[in-house]
Amino acid sequence: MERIFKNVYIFKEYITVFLATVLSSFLLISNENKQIENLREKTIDFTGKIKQNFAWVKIVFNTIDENRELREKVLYLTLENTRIKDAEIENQRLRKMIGFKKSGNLKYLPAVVISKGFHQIINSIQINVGENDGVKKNMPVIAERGLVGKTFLVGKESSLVQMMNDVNFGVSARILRTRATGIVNWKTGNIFEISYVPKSSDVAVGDTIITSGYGQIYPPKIPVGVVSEVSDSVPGMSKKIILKILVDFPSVEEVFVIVSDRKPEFILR
Amino acid sequence: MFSFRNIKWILLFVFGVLFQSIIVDYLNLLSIKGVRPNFVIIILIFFGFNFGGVYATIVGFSVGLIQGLGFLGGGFIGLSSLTKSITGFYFGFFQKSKRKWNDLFFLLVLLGGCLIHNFLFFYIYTFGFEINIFSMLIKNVLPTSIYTTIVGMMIFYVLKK
Repeated sequence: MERIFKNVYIFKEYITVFLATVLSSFLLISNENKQIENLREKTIDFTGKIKQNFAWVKIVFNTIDENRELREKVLYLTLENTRIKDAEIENQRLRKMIGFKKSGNLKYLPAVVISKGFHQIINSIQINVGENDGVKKNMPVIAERGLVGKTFLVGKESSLVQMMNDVNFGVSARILRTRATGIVNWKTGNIFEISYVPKSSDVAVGDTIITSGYGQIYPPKIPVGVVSEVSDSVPGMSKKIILKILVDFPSVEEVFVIVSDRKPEFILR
Repeated sequence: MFSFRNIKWILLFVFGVLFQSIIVDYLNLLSIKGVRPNFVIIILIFFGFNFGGVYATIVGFSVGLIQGLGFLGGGFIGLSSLTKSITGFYFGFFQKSKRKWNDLFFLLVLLGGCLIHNFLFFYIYTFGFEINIFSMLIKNVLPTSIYTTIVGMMIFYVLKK
């Protein structure tokens, strides 16, 4: 007996760990025992109450993280919203262009404006179509709202377009209502003028100005602008007629190059 | 020899269990990419070095049981008591070599204890499921063990001063 106690004392650590292991294993396999479950329920209630007192800390930290996530989400949604609105506007614009294109029987080559103010002397834009696409010099360029200008330098894959608001630009135009003709030139800023319209002609503010078709470049009936000012009290035989141009040049992004050689009639929209 | 004069150890373990359960596990304040240190193991190693295998095993079992009952959420009762009693025994085994302590010795013993505890815990916890043991070692056992060892070494250096 004494020997047993002596051995137990010598191997007490091993005996202790063995007993602990056996007891733990017994508990492990008894996890589904009803009494153990009841005991767990009570202790979980107790520990849950303790943790509840610290829940505010978790809420604060989670709020900081949540706030950051929500800010990122708001930024993403704002950018997405802007992108969608932009796409919607572009969609409407392109639909108008398609409608405008369908109404005529000229051949239109769509193009995108890739840069503005490229040329040092001539007020111009650069578009992404050129000789390879069938573009030639002196082809009219229009947007869905009206005349933009004409090509003056044509490369293989891009072209320069002389804008209407260039000092050397001129187009023969007609007052839609009265058929009176004149030449549209740019004066300064957003001010365009029709010259050589006789004082005897009937012109009123609000009259639409279209291309006359005279000359070799611009087909007839391309919208140009709207009369914003008329004056007879100027020296000479011509009226002073100021136009408001239909196309907003700074915001032009898509245009059409009229690549047809013919000049058939097409419908003004 | 363990006596009631060493009531500080009881308080230390109570604090350790509460700190581990609330601050580390529940509030997740010391977590690095989901890896958390185990302060109960750290307290156990110091206890084992001071009181030997028998007491460290018994305390490890008791603390593990308390944790399993209420503080370890959905864990099994008996799992933590099993792993901590074995870990306590392991730490207590080195009480005899206490005089040969140095930094490296402490680090290796602590790391070994963490690896034993975490491996047993995760292995038994996932027993019956198709788990890749190597993956479990790399993703669960090793990171937790290393983190606990680092924290344990920091506490060791503080106490050493």
